[in-house]
Amino acid sequence: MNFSMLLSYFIDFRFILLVLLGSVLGLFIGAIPGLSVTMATALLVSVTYSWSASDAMATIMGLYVVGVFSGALSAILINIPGAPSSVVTAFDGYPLSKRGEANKALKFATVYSFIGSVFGFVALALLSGPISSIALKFHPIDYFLLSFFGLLAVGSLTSKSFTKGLVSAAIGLFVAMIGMDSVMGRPRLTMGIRSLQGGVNVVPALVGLFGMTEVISAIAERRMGAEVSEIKKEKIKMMEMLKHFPHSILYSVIGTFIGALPGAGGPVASFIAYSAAEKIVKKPSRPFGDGAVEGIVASESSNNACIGGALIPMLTLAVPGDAVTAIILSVFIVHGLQPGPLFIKTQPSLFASVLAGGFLGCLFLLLLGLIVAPRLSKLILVPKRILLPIVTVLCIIGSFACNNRVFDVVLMFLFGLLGFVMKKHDYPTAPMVLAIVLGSMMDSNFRRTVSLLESEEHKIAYLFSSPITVVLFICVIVTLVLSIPQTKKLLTKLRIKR
Amino acid sequence: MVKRKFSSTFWEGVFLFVVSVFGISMSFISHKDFNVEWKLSPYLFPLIISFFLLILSISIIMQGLKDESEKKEKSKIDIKSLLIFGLVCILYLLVFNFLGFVLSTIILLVLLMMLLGERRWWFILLVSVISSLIIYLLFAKYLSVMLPKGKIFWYLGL
Amino acid sequence: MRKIIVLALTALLLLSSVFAQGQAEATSSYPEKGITMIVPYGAGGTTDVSGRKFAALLSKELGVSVTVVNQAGASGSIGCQAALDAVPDGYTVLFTAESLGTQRVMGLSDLSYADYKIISPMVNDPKVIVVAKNSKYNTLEDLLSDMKANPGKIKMSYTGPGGSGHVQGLIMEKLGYIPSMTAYKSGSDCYLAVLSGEVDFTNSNISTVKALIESGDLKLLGVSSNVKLSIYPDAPLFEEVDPAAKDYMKNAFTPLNFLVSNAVSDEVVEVLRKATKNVVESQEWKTFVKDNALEELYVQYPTVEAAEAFYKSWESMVSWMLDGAGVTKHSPTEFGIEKP
Repeated sequence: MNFSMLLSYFIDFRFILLVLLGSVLGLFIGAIPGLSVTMATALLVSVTYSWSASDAMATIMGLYVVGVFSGALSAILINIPGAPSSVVTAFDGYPLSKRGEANKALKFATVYSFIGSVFGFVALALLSGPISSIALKFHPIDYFLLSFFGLLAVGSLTSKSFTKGLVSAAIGLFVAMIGMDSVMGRPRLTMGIRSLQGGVNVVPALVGLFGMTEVISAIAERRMGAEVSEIKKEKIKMMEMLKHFPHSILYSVIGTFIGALPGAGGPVASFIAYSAAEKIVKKPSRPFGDGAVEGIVASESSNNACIGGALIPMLTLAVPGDAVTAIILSVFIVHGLQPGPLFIKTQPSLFASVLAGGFLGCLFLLLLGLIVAPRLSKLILVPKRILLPIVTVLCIIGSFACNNRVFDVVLMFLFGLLGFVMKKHDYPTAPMVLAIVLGSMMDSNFRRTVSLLESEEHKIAYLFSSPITVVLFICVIVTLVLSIPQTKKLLTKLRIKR
Repeated sequence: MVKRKFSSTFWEGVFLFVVSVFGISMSFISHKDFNVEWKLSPYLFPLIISFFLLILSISIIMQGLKDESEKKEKSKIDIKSLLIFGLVCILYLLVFNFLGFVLSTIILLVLLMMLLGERRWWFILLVSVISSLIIYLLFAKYLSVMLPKGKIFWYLGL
Repeated sequence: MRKIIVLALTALLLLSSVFAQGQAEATSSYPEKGITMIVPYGAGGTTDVSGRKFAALLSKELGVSVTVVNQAGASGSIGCQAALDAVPDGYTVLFTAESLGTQRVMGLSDLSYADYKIISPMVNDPKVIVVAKNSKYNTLEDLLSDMKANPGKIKMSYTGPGGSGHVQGLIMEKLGYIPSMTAYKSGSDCYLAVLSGEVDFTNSNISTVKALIESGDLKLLGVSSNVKLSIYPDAPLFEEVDPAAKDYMKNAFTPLNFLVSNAVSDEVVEVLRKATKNVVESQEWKTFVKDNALEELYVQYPTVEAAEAFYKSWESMVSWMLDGAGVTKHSPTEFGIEKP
């Protein structure tokens, strides 16, 4: 890749303006629960059709980078994640804003989203070859193990009762099973309802479990005033802010890598990074799940690093890493370009425009985040009797928009009710969202593995022929054994003896 | 015989138990209709999950039996408002396609704000009309979400 | 106070724009406002890409915006249903792939081509057989003879039951070549499995794998069609290697179609047909078709009658083949689909 090409975009005023346009769009669209970056990108394709490919890329990259970040805004301020990948951010972000420290939470989210995105794009620029060749070595069994490993994060998401966390995850897995099975094409658990055949989209589930649940419980408990009466004005020192930088690099590596695996993506990365954070951070600023900035750092740096990661298989193999990159792929084709292994070589200027758009998007993320976030944080001062009706309408729109049908709105309300009942009985909802995201990935890859094994003679040898499988398998087993209460007791006993 | 009073945890466990038994029987019945081996069956995973849930539900039932004497401070639930909220939502979904997004959402917002205790009527009207129009324009026009325009307008020939 | 005035002004503006919209609808002569084109598959797939290109050119032709809306799920049945549920004023149109012909037998929905008026058949993305660059197979004969010698040992990836890749696998089985089939999520996942060595070969659409054939990562062994590829005239047709395949290759496998609900008036259909005709004859569309190596179905089936006959024959062949493989939920006889 040519460095001067990249530079020429940085001084192109028109290009910068287009990235800014995309970024502002992304800021709003990403923050509205249920309105996904995917949807916005799909629309941009229709609008930018007549533009040149690099202009289209500029706008789309701005939207992509900032849109993924701004899901954190609503997660922190009103406890409604804008997208599945921000669920983990709400975990520590919302408790912080309830204490009046919304500004602090937003600042951390902004800065570490920036770091994560930059890391992802640097990886895309320098290491796309090696990363894509490793990603290519992931077989169905590895995807199965990875999703299983992700599911084990339930342990770190449940503060009170592990059993209840597991129940929540199990119900989430049930929900994920609903609909057409992707391997055999058989309807499962649809109870004869036609509209359920397409499966339960994660958006109505997410919006219902977080947004609607919030509305219903506020009504039930007659909490009509504002959540907080004032926002603390607190200066955060630069040193304190950057203290988490070394850890954030680890989360970014996790994010970039999981982003590069087709089909995994943001939610998986942020959950895994969060459970890693719980293990490596010995003394968090506050307990995890109760306003630890370390949790925000993990979630935001990893989900934003996914962007650069997801672009890698798209640019090198024409295999989209997530839904947004699938659309970017179609932008290329509509513009008469052929993405594939030769793309970076034959279209260096377009590759440079992707990178330039990405880096500029990161800059605007930092700027917009730092400028807009403190103003937006006044949102929590709005009394609930006015905020809640509007949140309700946004929940309705968000779930309707994901597939343009009323059925999803009905589902959203049902999930809201379920979430409320679960909340009343101390069942956490986050494991359920995680399970909905991971369920079908686990199931289909498991059966894909079985199907591939059919024609093999030495089944076990074939299964463990790849080092990736062995490593993942060991990771899963170790985590599994360590999360059993009995082994925990045994370990502490051994420590005392020593 | 003294009637025992079970804790809510116990009943949660029973409910989950019923769900898991339902899941297990559903998996077996559906699997029987479909001619493949278990290891390739689409109903294998639902079955495994149901078994998993069964174990969990039993452990919750045990827990519920243990701490039956729990005295949990129950926060009061405002059932009346909740029921009205549910009713308003159902009404909304029923008229959504017929009245179209803008009209039905204005009605929803007015009703909800009244329910939640806002009393300044001019404020209610202003907020609901403006926010539904802005949302409609933003989503239907610029983001091309296919929000229903309202069959009623079509019938009226508008 | 100032805020309230600003708000009131915006409200007025918004109201006036809404009413202006309402008035415009009252007069007639189609089209006067933006058209929504439903693509019942996810954004970025082959149907979506062709649909978007077509929508952009159709918009130029008609002078109104044509917006693509993706409504994916359950093999396209959700989006196809939505196109029927919309107000039948011609402002909601459908651009879909072949699955409409198999939805009834697969138990996905009650929909079939009979529920729609055909504006025009569009293009076919030819099916090709590809292997990885370091594969031991160099010709289609190699692959086929190895499959015959080792039934159930050669692995193939496909996009799921009822999909076009599945139909290809079933045709191979009928001809006595028995692959071991594994379902993947999408076309790109299928060739990814070939690249990573999980499976030995796949039946892919040429537009999906063209870039990888060019770069040499995939080897093109053969074409499952009765027409040679314009960009790779050397690649043999299936029927050239095994003449018994000829009967199965007479229909295009992945026809894309441009449809509207049966309730839409004939005047509107006429307008759309005319516009479509102009679009497919435009230079830009022709370049797109050539770049992606697509077959032009509107050339093969220029009249509506010919198109209907083609869909009927397609529906019958594929439905019965799926039924024979035991993956259908209902027998084709239930819907009066005759045996081929």
